[in-house]
Amino acid sequence: MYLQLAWRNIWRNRRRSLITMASVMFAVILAIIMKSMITGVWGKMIQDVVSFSSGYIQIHKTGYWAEQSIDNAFATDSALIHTLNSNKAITSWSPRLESFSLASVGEKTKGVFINGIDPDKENTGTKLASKIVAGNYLQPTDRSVMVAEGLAQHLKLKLYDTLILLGQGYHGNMAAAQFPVKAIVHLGVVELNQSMVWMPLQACQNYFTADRMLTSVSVMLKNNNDMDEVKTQLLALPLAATYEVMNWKEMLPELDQMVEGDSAAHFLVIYVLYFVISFGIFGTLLMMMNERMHEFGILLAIGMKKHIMCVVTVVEIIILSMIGVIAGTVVALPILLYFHQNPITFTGELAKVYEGFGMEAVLPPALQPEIFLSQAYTVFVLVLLLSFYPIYKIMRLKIIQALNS
Amino acid sequence: MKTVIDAHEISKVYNPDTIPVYAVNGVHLHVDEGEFIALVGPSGSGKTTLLNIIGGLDYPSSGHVKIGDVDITELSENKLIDFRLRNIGFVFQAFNLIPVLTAKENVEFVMLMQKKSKHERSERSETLLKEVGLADKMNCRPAELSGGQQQRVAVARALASKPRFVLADEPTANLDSVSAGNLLDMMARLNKEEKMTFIFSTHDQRVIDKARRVITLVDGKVHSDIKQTE
Ligand SMILES: Nc1ncnc2c1ncn2[C@@H]1O[C@H](COP(=O)(O)OP(=O)(O)OP(=O)(O)O)[C@@H](O)[C@H]1O
Ligand SMILES: [Mg+2]
Repeated sequence: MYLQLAWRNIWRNRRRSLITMASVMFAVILAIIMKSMITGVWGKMIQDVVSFSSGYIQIHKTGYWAEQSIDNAFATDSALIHTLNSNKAITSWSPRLESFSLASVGEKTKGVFINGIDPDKENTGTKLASKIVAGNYLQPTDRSVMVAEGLAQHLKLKLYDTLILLGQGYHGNMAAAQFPVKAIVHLGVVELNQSMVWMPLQACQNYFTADRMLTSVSVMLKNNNDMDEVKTQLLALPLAATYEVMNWKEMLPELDQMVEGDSAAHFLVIYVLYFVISFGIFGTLLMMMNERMHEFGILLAIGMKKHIMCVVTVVEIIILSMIGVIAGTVVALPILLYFHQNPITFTGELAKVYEGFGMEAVLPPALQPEIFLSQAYTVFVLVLLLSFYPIYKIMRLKIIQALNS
Repeated sequence: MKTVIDAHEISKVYNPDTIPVYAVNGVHLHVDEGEFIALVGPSGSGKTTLLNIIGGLDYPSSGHVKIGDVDITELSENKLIDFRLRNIGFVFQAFNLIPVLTAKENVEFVMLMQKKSKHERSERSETLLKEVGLADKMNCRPAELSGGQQQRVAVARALASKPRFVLADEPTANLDSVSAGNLLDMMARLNKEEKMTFIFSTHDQRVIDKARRVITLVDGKVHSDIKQTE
């Protein structure tokens, strides 16, 4: 019957209850959408940047990151490969052998960055093949290279021309070879576009006389949140004594700072939103309490304990806000699903800026269940905190005053 | 005769530090079981204040109120709530009922707080509502009842907890004279048949006439205390 009382109290002032539910609902919708967009945009940005540069996690020989020399290359073992292949959180991984060389075509020479890759694995992670502007993507057994567009222009290099490479191989060996250009690749980041050369891993290992050696293994993850767990697992392998495992936050600290800074700003906005909403709900509670003073007086006179009155009132508020929270979540979901399927896409200048950083100019919302849960939960907790006001009012209620109001 | 209320030398002073108002000033009151008392007096004479103190809704500035063996002026606020629930029935001037509950549920509510079984609650609330002549209105909400009917439900509710006595502060003030008369007749009947003690305040002479004892307050003091025959 107490529950019944709470339930019926909700319907006694239908309009006010609906307004309260609606305000909770909109609070939840706004909070979820904001959080989802922020998380989604940053997640996408991290993914874009990270997938094209470092990967979420990289494994190298201990000391490689500090001194990025081919002499700090290492060989994988079967336990590492098994882990990389079997871990569910890992979407793809890509072995690389990277170093510098001198490239020359006719009169022109330029320092270039050689990137020995497993073509298939690399493409899964970085979608490299999609950035080709001319020619065809590498095959694992090819003895040919792909050249970045800016570099090709600089060297006046055309498709199928021959590129001569000269450099230092593994442990002081001489590295010299010539390769036909199989494809030209466009990269958004200007510096990379001026310096990148790709070749199949095997050809690269031959060129540098570094048989079966790698400078890094780059690991792509389904979800940024899995990063620490995967890192811990990798560090538990037997080979781990000789290699280092780094995440993108360590490799790209500037990006990390940018994300953190921006998140802080957005959180501020969300908190302002919570604040505004709290005031709205508080107003309703204020009206509700004033309207019921006399009734509380009667209840107290006929022997209802104050704590039971509090429970009944808070249950009423909880039911109200629960309905609001659930409705908000239910409404937010299809909106976000829609924008997930049809993400907001920038065009024009802004798009160019994005592409300049190697990112797609789209804003996909994130759909992790945590976002829905955490926002719904936060708004709900807010309402619970606000219901301290009715409790306070009831506990301080003076019976004669209440009866006279 | 069993004593129900024994109020000794009670006073209530408002604003003692500035301009003191002696709302009740040294009142003695002795009420036996089965009495039917009208509390009368001009506006501001202290009727409501006295009833509130006797009913444990307010504390006197001085003096003691014994109900049965218990001095209720010594009870804490929390203990008083429980004491009221078990010992005193209340009928107020208006808006007595919980608007979202039906007549029957309103009557049951006190018994719910007394933790009576569902069966007992249902049975007793039906009996009481029949007694106050509302057998056909049990499932109506207060808004669907007339003022007189609402007051009858309030009386039924006051009786539901099987209290030692019922206090009613101007129960007829918002009623037309016919409804007021009916309500009083009903209370008089319950007084006779159930031996229920009633103390009610009123301004209405026709209501006063129905009482068997009339206490008149003037300026917070008992001016007269007269037993009258029917
Ligand atoms: N909370 C209060 N603060 C100060 N004075 C009060 C307060 N409540 C009542 N009084 C004063 O106490 C006196 C008695 O008031 P009370 O309400 O008991 O009279 P009453 O006989 O019930 O009057 P009425 O017939 O108008 O209901 C009045 O002078 C009133 O102004
Ligand atoms: Mg009064």
